[in-house]
Amino acid sequence: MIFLETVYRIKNWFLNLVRPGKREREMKVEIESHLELDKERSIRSGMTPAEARKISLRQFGHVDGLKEECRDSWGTRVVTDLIRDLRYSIRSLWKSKVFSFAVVTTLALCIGANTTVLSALYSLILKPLPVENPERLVQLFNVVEGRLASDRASKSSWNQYSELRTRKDLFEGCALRVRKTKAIRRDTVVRRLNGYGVSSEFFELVNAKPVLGRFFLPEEVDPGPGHVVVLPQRVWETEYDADPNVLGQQIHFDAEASYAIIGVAPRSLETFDYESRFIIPYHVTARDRNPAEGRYQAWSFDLWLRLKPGVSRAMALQQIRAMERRWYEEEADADARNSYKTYKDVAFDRPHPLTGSLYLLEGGSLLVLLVGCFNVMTLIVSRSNQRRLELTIRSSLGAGQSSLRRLMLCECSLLVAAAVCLGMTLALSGTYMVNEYLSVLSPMTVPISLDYATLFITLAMTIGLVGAMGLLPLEIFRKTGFLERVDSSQRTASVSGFSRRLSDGMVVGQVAIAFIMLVGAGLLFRSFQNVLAVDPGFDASQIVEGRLDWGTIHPRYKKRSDAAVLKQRVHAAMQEIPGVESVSLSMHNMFSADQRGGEFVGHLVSPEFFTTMNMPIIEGRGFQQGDTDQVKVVDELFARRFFPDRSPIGYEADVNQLLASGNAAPGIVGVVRRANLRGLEDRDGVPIVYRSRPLKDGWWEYSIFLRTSRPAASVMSDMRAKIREVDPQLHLSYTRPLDAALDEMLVSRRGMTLLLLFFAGLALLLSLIGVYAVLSYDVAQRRREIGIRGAIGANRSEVLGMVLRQGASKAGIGLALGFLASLYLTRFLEKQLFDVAAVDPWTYIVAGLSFATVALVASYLPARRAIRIDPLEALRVE
Amino acid sequence: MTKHVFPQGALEMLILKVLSNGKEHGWGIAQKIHLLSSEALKIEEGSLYPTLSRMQQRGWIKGKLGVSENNRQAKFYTLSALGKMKLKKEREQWESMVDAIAQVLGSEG
Repeated sequence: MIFLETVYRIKNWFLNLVRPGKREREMKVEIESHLELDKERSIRSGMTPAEARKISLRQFGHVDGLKEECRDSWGTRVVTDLIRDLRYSIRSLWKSKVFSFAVVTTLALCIGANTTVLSALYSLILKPLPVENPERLVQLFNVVEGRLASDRASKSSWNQYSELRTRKDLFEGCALRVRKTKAIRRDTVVRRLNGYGVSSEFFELVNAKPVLGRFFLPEEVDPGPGHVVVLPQRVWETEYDADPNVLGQQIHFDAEASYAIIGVAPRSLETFDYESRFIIPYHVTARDRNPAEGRYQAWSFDLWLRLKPGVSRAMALQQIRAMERRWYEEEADADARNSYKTYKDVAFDRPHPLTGSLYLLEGGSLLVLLVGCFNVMTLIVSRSNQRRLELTIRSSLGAGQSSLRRLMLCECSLLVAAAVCLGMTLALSGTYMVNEYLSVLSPMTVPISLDYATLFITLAMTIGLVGAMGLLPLEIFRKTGFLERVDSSQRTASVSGFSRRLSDGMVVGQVAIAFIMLVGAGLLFRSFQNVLAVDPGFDASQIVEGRLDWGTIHPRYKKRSDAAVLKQRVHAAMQEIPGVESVSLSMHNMFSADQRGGEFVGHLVSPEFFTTMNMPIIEGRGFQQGDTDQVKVVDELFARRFFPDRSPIGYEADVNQLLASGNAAPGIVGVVRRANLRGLEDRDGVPIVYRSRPLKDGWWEYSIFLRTSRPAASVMSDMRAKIREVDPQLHLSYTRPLDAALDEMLVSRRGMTLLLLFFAGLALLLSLIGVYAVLSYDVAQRRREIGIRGAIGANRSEVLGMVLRQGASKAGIGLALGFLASLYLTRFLEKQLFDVAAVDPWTYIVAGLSFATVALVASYLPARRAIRIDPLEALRVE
Repeated sequence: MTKHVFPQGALEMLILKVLSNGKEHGWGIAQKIHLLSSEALKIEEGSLYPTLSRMQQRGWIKGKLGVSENNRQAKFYTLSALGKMKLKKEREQWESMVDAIAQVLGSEG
């Protein structure tokens, strides 16, 4: 029976909800018919109709109260009240469109920016690796001169791997991974694919289970060569349509044996290298095993180690250091000993290259959020002050604290909901933008996405915001006992000193934070300008580069003499391209910031290199045909740094030490202008020592530089065609104009500068709105006072001055605070600055002046409204 | 005329009883209770209609618009199956309670 009753209740509740009019109509009919029947009965007993009606009405009592009591029983009051509140909120928000727009836009921008930056931070840095016990999986790096060089320079060596593999007391597992590039040719189009080779333990170490098929057997890796390949799931799905029959199919890598597909690796492996399109066994080469050269120079391996439970990182590192020292003292030869002076430490886990920038952006977006919240609070408080009459009337008509609170919360929920929708849209496009950047900056990184962690934080933040926004004004009113007092002065008296101090404080805070951000962004902007102003030292605009890789040349031209013939043919073919003024070759890969550190670096080039690049010889001579690679030309920076007061010519530049001698002939023969071949920011970085080799010398990898006045695109396609003519099996890994290459190195700095400028602009705009809102409200509040001032003779400039002074004092205090804070905070920016001191007076002055201007504009508008107040009218309001 | 304060649930029971004889509107229910109690019980409109509304919500009675004896629109109530069961149960409970009270009152003090 109780069950039946519950079913009826739910059914009726639902019916009442979807047809709210039906019960209402029935109730009306019911009451009306009751009154009529009562009346007729009274008439029958001899009353006049009017009397009868009066009597039955009196008997009936309070009709509206009765109706309410009936409605209560329908159980739909919660919903109808909510709908009524919502409807009312929408109406009242629609009425103050400017306010609603300001709040929603502010919050949406803050939410969008913060969610995007937080997602990036989380996906790239904070998210744990998708393996069991990720805290025990570490990667070993070699530390160069106390710093972790980026990318290749600090990876591990084969010898470290083979020795650490035996340390079962420290590690549960140990695996090796090395990046590989292979080419697939279809007709004349060559596609270059990135992938990696791994040792057989790799998959187990990272807890990967095959989606399909199997992973490598130990004998396929060592001794090998097992011509087998594992596809990442993404490749399997996009290129093989997730075909389960893919196992056993062959992939033909350029000019090599074909590889049989044996398995598909799960998506969790993308974390280790998003770009990779294949995974093959890594076969150790004789070069890897050579201990003398190998241990500290062939650093191309990612070495992953899984610590045994109970072994701490510090303990393991200490053991590895001891191992390295023992090797150095007992086994190393003279060469290695020389190297080891420079390369002397190991570390676990390298921070992501974007860590610094991301934390900086996170800081920036949090500051924007703070400014935004201050701003919204200011707006809300001043709007509630404007609405205090309405709230007072509601309160005196019997609306309790709870219903007022419900109404305010309802409005704020609407605003925040709109802001969240808009903000999430912004965040989605933000992550899209970040991913565009990421694919250039760090293609190995898995694209970022909005995940549960960030969505959860956003949600929590939102709820907090709604609560604070809705309850703060009421809290202020309650604290000041304002709603209880209803008297005539209510309409004009200031609400409370407290709320005024609160909004003043928030405006000062906004100005201070916005100033800090403006200074920070200004410093970065000046740095960026300074970087752009750096002279590359060579003629970037007219040079294109094409690269031939070891993997392309070596398999087919194994003998040095064959490679030398090829090199000469390539050189000759390049000179045939119409419009080419000069051709030169360089063995080293330039224009990438990722190179090994040291006191200087060597570049092996062909003799015409300086001519092609348009690098003038400052002292001595350039290279001549017939020079051996003992002949060296150093750049200006080298001369300045190591020979500050004399000429370096005739001295020697050794890889590890400078020999002040005349015996090692011929040594340094010239000084060439400094060319920033490793990016504009490397101007004061590492000096370069050039050596040259004649054309007839065989190389297996080199870049070709063409100097031409023709458009780069057509020259590049000519280059590719010529290479095919020389050998149809050959292909260039890439071609690019050098100015594009230089530009690409600035992507990260440009992106960060733009983003921080955007954040700073946002903060500036928000604080401007804040100053404006507070002053406008203040002027409206003091209408009567200003009217009286006008009536007793204050002239316009006095009134204007009064309001402007107010704005100036708020902005002034904010600026002073911001200035002090900037002096401290900009030190965190120092790493990102270029040619600018953290306390750069110009930046501070410009930021201060622009702020002063903006604050003046923001206070002038309310001030103008103040001087237009007509004394008579202002007083008549009473 | 004495005013009776109804014990909890008694009004519902009376309404169910009246309706067990066929459909009736609110005014009619009040009248019938008035007459059947030999004019001893007078139902206040202020408690009748909310009670009807509550009972309808719980599914004991059904409400439908119809035409009254004076050719006016009125809302008529009928007993549902659940209401019939309810009436039986309430009545049993009521009678056993009245018996119990009578026993106490009739006992030799």
